[in-house]
Amino acid sequence: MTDPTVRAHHLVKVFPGPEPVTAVDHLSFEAHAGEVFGLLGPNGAGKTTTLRMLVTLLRPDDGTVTVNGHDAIAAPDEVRASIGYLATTTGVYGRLTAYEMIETFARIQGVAEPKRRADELIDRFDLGDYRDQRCSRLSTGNKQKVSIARAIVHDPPVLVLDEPTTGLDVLVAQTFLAFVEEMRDAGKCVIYSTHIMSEVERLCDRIAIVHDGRVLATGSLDELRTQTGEHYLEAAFIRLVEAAS
Amino acid sequence: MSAWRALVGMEIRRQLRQPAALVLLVFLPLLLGPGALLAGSRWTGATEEATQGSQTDPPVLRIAATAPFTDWVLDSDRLEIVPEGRVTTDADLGDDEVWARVRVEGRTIHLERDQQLAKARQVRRRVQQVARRHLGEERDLALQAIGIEPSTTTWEVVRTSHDGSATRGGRELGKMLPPLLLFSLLLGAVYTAFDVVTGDKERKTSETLLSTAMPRAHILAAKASIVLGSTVLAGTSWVVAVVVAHRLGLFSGDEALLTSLQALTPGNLVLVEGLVVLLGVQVAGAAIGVAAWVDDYRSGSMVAGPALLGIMAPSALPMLDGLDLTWWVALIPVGNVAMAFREVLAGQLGVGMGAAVLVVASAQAAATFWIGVRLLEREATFTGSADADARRAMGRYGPDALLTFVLVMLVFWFLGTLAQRVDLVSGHVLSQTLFAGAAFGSVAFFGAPWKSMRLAAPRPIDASLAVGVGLFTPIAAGTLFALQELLFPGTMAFAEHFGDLLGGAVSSVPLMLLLFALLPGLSEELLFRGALLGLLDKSLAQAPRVLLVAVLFGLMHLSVVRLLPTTLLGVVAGVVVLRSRSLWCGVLFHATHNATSLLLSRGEAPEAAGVDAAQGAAAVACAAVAVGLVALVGRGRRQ
Repeated sequence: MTDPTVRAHHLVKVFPGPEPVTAVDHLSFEAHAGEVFGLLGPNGAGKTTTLRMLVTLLRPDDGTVTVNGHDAIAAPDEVRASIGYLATTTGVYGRLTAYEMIETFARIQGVAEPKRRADELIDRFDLGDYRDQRCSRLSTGNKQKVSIARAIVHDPPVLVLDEPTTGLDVLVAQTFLAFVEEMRDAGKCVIYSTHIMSEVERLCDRIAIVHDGRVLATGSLDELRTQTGEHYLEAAFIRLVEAAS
Repeated sequence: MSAWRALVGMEIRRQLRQPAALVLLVFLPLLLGPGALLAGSRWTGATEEATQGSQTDPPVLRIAATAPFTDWVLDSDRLEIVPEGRVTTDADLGDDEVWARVRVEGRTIHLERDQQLAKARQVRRRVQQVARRHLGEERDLALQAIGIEPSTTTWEVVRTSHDGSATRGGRELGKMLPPLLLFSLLLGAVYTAFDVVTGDKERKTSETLLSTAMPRAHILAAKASIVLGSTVLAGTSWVVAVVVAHRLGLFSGDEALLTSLQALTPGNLVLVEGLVVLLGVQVAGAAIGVAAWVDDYRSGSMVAGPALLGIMAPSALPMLDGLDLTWWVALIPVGNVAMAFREVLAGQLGVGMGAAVLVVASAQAAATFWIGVRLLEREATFTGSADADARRAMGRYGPDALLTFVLVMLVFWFLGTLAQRVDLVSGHVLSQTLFAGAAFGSVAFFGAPWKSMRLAAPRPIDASLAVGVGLFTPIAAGTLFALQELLFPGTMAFAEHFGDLLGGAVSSVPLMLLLFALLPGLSEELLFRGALLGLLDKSLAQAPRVLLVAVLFGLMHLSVVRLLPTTLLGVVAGVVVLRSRSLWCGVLFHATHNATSLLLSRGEAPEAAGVDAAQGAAAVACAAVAVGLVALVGRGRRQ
């Protein structure tokens, strides 16, 4: 097997305070090029904190992250250059047009021909009619398209997607899922965090079930079924969480 | 570098698309420039005759006020009023220096006095003392000799400073301009810092940006450049407005202003712009730090104003009379630049001191900026979450109360007192309106329950007792002043001056009581015992709460001399309100206390410092009665 594109090893993150909260507790997983790796867990499980450590937004208190051969602590800029990050917390600038938003981030990411790349992505996501419309006036779906375009503007080998379909209607969500599959087929390593079982079943090649900051189980859908003796992912998930609690 | 350019370009584009940005960064400073000059000319306007004087009798400044003539009668032993009604002799009070000269023209009396305000107070006090001893026939004869009818009671008294320096106008103007310039700089810095830092959190674009390959240092540098650029733009707009207004001759009638503006030569303009940049760096650094520290706009809007106004507080240093730009003053951040600005306008900034200020201020600017950027760098800047709402949901508004106080005080200090200098009565009304507005505004803004202000009607017995307390506290407070004289000589002079100031502002007693007793009683109680005490209800126990609010109340009076008496009065008011469970009892107590004090001070003011036994006994008795009455407030109320 090839070296993993993304490797998280015994990640720990504690949020200080009068009562410190251990958001991520020795969490480990590996994800490879050409696969969608799902992080499945309830709200507050530590998925977002884990992904933020991958993207170097947060610094782990312990453990290591390696992305595309770069260590997240030693070479954070290189790690981020390898990642396209999309989350509910990655918004768009309302006073920029769709085109300006994509083109600006192409420049920020150091893309060689930012204008050409922006045009290409505008076409790719059918944003031609909204090219010069300010992002604040775009529909939620079109905003999300701009966000995706922004995330992949530098054609990164790794995509980190944190509950990316939240707030999208069914049709837009379907388009989005199709896009994720396309990315996998193009050989990208996609880390996909969600609490929606159907998305995991459709997209993920391998899954880590996360609860209370720890990985309860890792494997393909079939492996998880075998491990838990449950046919449906939802039942398997509940069994694992209950066993852990 | 191209990423940096892209980010800066994007932010500029965003700002240009925001009308508020243009208003704050360009138009408002443009208006504030000439506006400051207009205010300045109102305050520092020179008398025409003075500016036409000879080299040995150079321009002087006029602070116009109207006061009852009887307060200003002159001692014929020392001041000779000549029949021509033009010139009097100089009078010497024994300090071997000319302290004032008096000139009567028609119905106007000119009192030219020393530039030191403290000195002027002594002069005025002495004149009053002398006048009191010489009431009667002798004075009337002197007045009749120059054709003035003694029975006329109200005269315009024009007090003029006799500084003997042509730079006086510049110094006076320079006193006001630095705070106003800083205000423009703040507008630029705060708006942009919040938009590009806190705004990034608010609209969820901070992670978008931070997850790119652009090194953090470059992101920070780009944001810092934007804030600095807009700050300097706002400051420069202001300077341009002042110079253009001058060139357009908007203030041609005021020679003193023109004289000082002549000091704005191209060379000096470069220097002023340098000062603007230095101030801009400091303000921008502070703004970035504050914007990075707060969680959202709501917290930010409360924190930013007070914090940044606090930072710019030293810019009011030039307004302190008698303070020169010495070496130690040159070390005070922001204040040093403000003082240098004043000296530039006065044409008095020496090369050595100028260089020193530039070096010190540059170092301070770099340090402030560095701290601001370090705060921006913190992980929590982009990942922290607000717990303020949770705190408020539990009914705790302690930090909000303190923020309200600081914000109100700084606005009061900068705008209210400035307005009071221009016109005492309207400035006073403005300040009191600010207090009342802030009281209701803060409770509404933070979503505190209205009942925390205790606006319910009091029991009649409690209301009567509150009035009773207010009748007895003035004697005790007055004696405290006299006792303080032993510790801080000059207390009584200040008290007298203060009384004169109020008495001089309005001649009608009912109006005086309305303005200086009822109005403060209402608005100050609304703010302190209504809003602040109420906001602190669940944050502090009763005793520390009353004491804290009382200390804040004392601090509000902006006077070391009045701190102790006003704090004690604050304690009394706090106890009265809590015991009666009605703010109106506090209002009644406060208004009665003020009214009684004002009426008492219209009599003969004490001449000597110290307290004799009878006075002391009276004060102790009054205090005891007041305490007794306070103890009765709220008694027998059904629980």
